[in-house]
Amino acid sequence: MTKRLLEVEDLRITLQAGSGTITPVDGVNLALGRGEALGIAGESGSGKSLTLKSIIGLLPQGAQVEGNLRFALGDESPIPYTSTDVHGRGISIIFQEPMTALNPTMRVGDLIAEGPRIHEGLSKTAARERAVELMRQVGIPAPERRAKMWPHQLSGGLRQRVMIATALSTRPKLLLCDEPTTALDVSIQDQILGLLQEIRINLGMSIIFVSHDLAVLGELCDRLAIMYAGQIVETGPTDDVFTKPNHPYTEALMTSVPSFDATSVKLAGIEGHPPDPRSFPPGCRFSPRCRYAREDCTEADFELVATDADRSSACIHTEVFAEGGR
Amino acid sequence: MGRFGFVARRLLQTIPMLFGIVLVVFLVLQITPGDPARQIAGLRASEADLEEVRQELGLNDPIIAQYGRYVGNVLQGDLGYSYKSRKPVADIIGDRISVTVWLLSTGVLMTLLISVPLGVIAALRKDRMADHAIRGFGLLGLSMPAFWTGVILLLLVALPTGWFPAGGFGDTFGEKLRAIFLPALTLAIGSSPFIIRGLRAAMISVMESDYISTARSIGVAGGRLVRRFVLRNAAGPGVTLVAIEIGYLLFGAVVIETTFALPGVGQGLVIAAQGRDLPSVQGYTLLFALVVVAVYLLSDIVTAILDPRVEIDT
Ligand SMILES: Nc1ncnc2c1ncn2[C@@H]1O[C@H](COP(=O)(O)OP(=O)(O)OP(=O)(O)O)[C@@H](O)[C@H]1O
Ligand code: SF4
Ligand SMILES: [Mg+2]
Repeated sequence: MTKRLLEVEDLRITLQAGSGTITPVDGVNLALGRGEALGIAGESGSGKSLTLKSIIGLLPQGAQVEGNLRFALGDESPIPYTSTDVHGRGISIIFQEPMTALNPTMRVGDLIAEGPRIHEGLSKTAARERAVELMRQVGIPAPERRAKMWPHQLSGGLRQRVMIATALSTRPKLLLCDEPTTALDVSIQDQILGLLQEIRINLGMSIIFVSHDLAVLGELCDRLAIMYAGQIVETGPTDDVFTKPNHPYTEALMTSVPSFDATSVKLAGIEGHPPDPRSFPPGCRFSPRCRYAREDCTEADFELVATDADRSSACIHTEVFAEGGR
Repeated sequence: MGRFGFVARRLLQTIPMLFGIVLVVFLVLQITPGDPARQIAGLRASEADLEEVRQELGLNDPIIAQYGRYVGNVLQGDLGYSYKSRKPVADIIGDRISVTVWLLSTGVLMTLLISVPLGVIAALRKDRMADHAIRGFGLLGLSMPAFWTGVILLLLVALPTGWFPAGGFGDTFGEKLRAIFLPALTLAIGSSPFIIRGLRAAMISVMESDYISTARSIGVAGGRLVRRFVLRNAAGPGVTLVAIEIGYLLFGAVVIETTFALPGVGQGLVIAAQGRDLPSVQGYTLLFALVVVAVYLLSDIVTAILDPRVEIDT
C-alpha cells in the first residue's frame, strides 16, 4: 500500500437522541493511502455522514467520540489531530445540499476568498483574484461576474461547483465528499463527478466519497468500504468487490437498484429496513435481512477479518458465501 | 425591480391596512354605548340643545357619510375635539408624544444594549453556566410586572440616591434624560428576556446549519465566524423580533407612564379612558395602531435589505 494519509481506528460516536443515547457509528476502522480515493457505501442512516463529520471534526454539539483518528499533515506518518489542526488546512468537505451549505448572505466570491484571506494572509483584492481563479478551475463560466452573485442566484450545479472551489481554496490533502451529486439533476451529476475525477488527478488529492450509489463509487474510487448499521462490513479494491463481494450485504447492495428518488436514498431490492440505531440486532447486525443467516450469526461478535491480502469482511460465513451457497 | 420593488410593493400593501384601521377605530366610537351629544352638552341639556349639538357634529347624517368625513379629517390631521378640554385631539396628542418617543427610543436602546450581548453569549455558551445564568435572570425579569419593577426602582434607586425624579418630565436635555432613565430601564427589564430568548434561538438555529459547518471546515473561527456568518444571518429574525417587541412596548408605556407620572400618550390614553373622552381615546388608538403598522413596515424593509434572497421570494 502507498504511504498512509488517514487512519480511523475503532471509531465510536455516541449522541443524545430523545431521552436516551444512540451509537450510530460503532467501531469503524478505515485506512486511506495518499492520493487514494475511497468510497463508502451504505443505506440511509448507516452512519456515513457522521463518520465523515468526525474525521473533519464537525460533529454536532454533545456528540461523544471514542477511538483514534490519525492524519498526516506533513510528510511524516499519520498522527493524532484535533479539528483545528485540519480546518482550513489538511481536510475539506463537500456536502450533499449546496444550497444549505453556502452562506446565503455572502457573495460566493467572498466565501471562496475566506480561506486564502485567513490562511495565506492575502489582501482583499488578491484573495478575490484567487477566488475567481478557483472558480475558473472548477469550470464556472464568467467567474468574474459570478463571484459577485449570491448563492440563490446560481443553479444547483454551479452552487456545487462553488462549494468545490471553497473546499479547494484551502489546498487540502484530503477531500471528503458527502453525496455531492445526490441533490443534483442526473445530467449535472455526471459533470460534477467528472470534475471531481479531474481535480483528483490534477491535484493528486485523496478523496473519501460517500454515496448510496455503488455505480457512482465504481467510477471514481480505488477502494470501497461497505457500511451497515454503524460498522464497516467489507473493504477491498473496487474491482474485486464488484466482481466477487465478500459480504452478503454487499451482494444485496449490488443486485439492488437504487431508487430514482434522489431525496430518499433507500435501496430497492433489499428486504426489510436498515436497523434503527436505538435497537441494533445482536450479533451480526445484518442477520435479520441476510439470506445466508444461520443460528450462530446472532451470537457472533462483530469483527472485520482479512479475507485476502487487501480485503476484509465481517461475515463469519464467508466460506459458505464464497461457494455461492444459496 | 429587485429590492426597490419589494419596498414599493410593501408600502402599497400598507394603504388598505391603514383604511381598515381607521374604519375599526371609527366603528369603535359608533358602537360604544352613550350619547356623544349628551356628553358634550351635559346632563342638564334639553332635548333641543342635544339636537343642536347633533346637527353641529353631523351625528344625524348616514353612517357612511360620517365615516367619509372622519377619513377626510384624519387625512388632514384633524382627529376631532376632546369632550373634556374642547381642545383639538391632535394638539393634545402632539403635546404628549415627545415624552413617549423619548421613553420608547431610550427603552429600545437599553433593551438592545442588554439583550444583544446576552443573547449572543447565551447562544455561544449554550447549555453551559452562562446560558443558565442568563435564562435565570430572564425568568426573574419576566416574572415582575412593569408597575412592580417601576415601584421597586423608585423605592430602591430614585428615593435613596435622589439622582432621578420620582415623576414628571424635564425641560433641559439632562433633565429629560434623568426623568426617562428609570422608566426606560423598567421597559428594558420587561422586554429584554423576550429578545434574549429569541436572539438565542435564532443564533442557535443558524449555528446548526450546514453553511456554518462549511465555514468552520475552511478554518473560519471565533469572532470572524460570529460576525460574518452567524450574526449576519440571525439579524433578520432579530429585527422582526424587536419590531414585535416594540408593539408590546407601546402597551408597556401605558403602565410605565402612569407609574412614573410621565405626561406621555400612554398616560393620556388612561386619562381619556377614565373620563370617557371618546374622541381622545379614538385618537390615541389610531396613533398606537399607526405606530405598530409603521414599525412592522420598517422591520420588513430592514429585513429585506439584510437578506439578499428577498427579491426572489416575492
Ligand atoms: N445530530 C444528531 N442527533 C441525533 N441523531 C443523529 C444526529 N445525526 C445523525 N443522527 C442519527 O445517526 C444515524 C446515522 O446518521 P448519518 O447522517 O451518519 O447517516 P448516513 O449514513 O449519512 O445517512 P444518509 O444516507 O441518509 O445521509 C441516523 O440514524 C441518524 O438519525
Ligand atoms: S454473519 Fe451471518 S447473518 Fe451476518 S452476513 Fe454473514 S451470513 Fe449473513
Ligand atoms: Mg448522510
